[in-house]
Amino acid sequence: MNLSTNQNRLECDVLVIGGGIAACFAAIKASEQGAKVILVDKGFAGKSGQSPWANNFMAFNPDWGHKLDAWMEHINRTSEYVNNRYWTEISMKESYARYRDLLSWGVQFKKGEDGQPVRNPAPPGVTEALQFEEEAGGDWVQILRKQVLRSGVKIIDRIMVAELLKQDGRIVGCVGLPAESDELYTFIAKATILCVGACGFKPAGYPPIIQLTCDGEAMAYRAGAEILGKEFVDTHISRTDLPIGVPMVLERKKDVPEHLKVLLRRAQGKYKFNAEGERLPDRPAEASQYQYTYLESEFEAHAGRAPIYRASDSGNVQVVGGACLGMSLRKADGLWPANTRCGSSLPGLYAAGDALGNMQNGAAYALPGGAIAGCAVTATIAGEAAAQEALQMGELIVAEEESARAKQFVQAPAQRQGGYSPRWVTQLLQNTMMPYFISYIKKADRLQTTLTTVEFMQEHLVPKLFARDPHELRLAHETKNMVLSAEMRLRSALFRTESRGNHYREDYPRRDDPNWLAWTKIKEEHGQMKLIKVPIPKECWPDLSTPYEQRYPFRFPGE
Amino acid sequence: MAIERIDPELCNGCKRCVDSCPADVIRMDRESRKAVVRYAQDCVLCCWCLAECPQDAVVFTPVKTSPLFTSWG
Repeated sequence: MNLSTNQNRLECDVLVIGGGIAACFAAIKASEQGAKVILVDKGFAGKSGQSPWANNFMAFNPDWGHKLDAWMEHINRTSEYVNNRYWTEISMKESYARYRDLLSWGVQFKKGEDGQPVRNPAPPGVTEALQFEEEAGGDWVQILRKQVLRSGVKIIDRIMVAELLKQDGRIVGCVGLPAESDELYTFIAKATILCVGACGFKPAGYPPIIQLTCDGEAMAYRAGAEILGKEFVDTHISRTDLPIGVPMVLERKKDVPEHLKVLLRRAQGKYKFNAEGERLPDRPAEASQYQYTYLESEFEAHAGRAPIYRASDSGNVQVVGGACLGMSLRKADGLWPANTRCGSSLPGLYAAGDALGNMQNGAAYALPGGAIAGCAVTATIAGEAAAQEALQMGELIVAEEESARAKQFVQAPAQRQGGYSPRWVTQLLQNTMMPYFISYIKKADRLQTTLTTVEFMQEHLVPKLFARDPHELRLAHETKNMVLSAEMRLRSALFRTESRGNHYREDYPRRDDPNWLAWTKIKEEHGQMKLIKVPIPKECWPDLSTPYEQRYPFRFPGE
Repeated sequence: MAIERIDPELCNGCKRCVDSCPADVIRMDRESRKAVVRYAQDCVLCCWCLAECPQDAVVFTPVKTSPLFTSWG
């Protein structure tokens, strides 16, 4: 395979990497500032990532009777007090303006008979979300794509950005790998915005994140950026035989053929019960009621009471955890925000959407529609800030040595004749991280053992990944990025010696407020992965004079 | 294996399946200018290709198999 250096070199003020709602908003808003913008996406922008699967958009609007204090109090409590209140509040306050943006660009929302948008209360009825028009079938992101093009942004589809360019401590662009060509692309940009979504290990149970292989945070980490700790896991379940989410895409658009109707048995349903027929306990009203929050199924599995079933209208469906393996709770993945303009700790590099680890939702998600609204909000901030910074800069000249270094890094797996295939290393990573007693029910000795395995993968397997064509080269870089992210996840889980929200430590089953009302961040230092504890300001703490059981209504096993 | 093939008699070469596939499974054949399944083992059963195809040309089974896990590979 010959990956020659070439003429594929593009320059812009602002480079947006990604193709979902955050990328589209960031590109439009940067372009509106007068910047020359390029959007580059691994897939086809407007069909990428989780956005086309989204149902709801949170829109906070005082004119609809919404009370900021009540919404904030709800999130602070359900997040178990480790949400970042600045970002929670700004995502709410600016969500309605972003909803108006969507309307003005032609995105449709479900309307009632009175012609007004249908406002769906989210359990337990404190917050609300608006529903995308069902008939659009995920095509609302395509409407965003059209707006991106109308804004004068150049879109380049099907190029995986695999390495950032850094010069004098500043991010100045990146190198991209096209899906079907040997010729790498070089992008030179005065500001770069990562909108690459959340992160996962290509779990079979959740197709929406199959493209989201931790590329953004891995590139940023290698370049020296600070990354948010990854101890708060997402806990989607799936059918044991088939992925979740499948019928959503197909059903919205077509009559499902008879032989595929087996796909329509949903893992969603009324309630879950265990092998002994016992219904899993209801959560306390004060706790998050969001479906994929807390580890109820995992606790049952650990107690030896699996299989777990979900009762549904179409019969009982056997379900299993780990559908979202490798993904953190919404907004608990990604780059550490170094300022309120969505800038990372590296000059020239911004992040928005799920790629920005702003802890909007803390340790337990309770805000349906809030994740996607938060993407629109942070992308608007990032797009405007990046454009303003870029427009103030003079000419940018990037040394050929840096571009050549990045290209060599990207090409390396294609230059090896053998070693380890990306598919095999990915499968090994999945098998290593998937068991419930590693990624969900955590304990120091098991985490340490798994970390030893992942370190071996880092040191011995990743440097010898090989690729025979551009598709496999993409897989090789995805694999490398996922293995790095797994190390981050394990180290973060070991670091937080308490339990909270979706982070459960069997050896530390209680919340430890005096020590762990804190966030964690990760940074490379002298070749080592360093974990840093960042205390949460005391004004955001719960009242420690109230009894623990009152502060935290949800009990962990072993407390 | 989920996606099996794309019926060349029905495919109109619109490329919508290629663009909608998040796993880069489908490619355009340069000679026939029709879509072909190139990396079937990477299909994740998301069904986007089925949903997008205006010709219903995608041949799809509701079964996903994984390769046996081996000592190296």
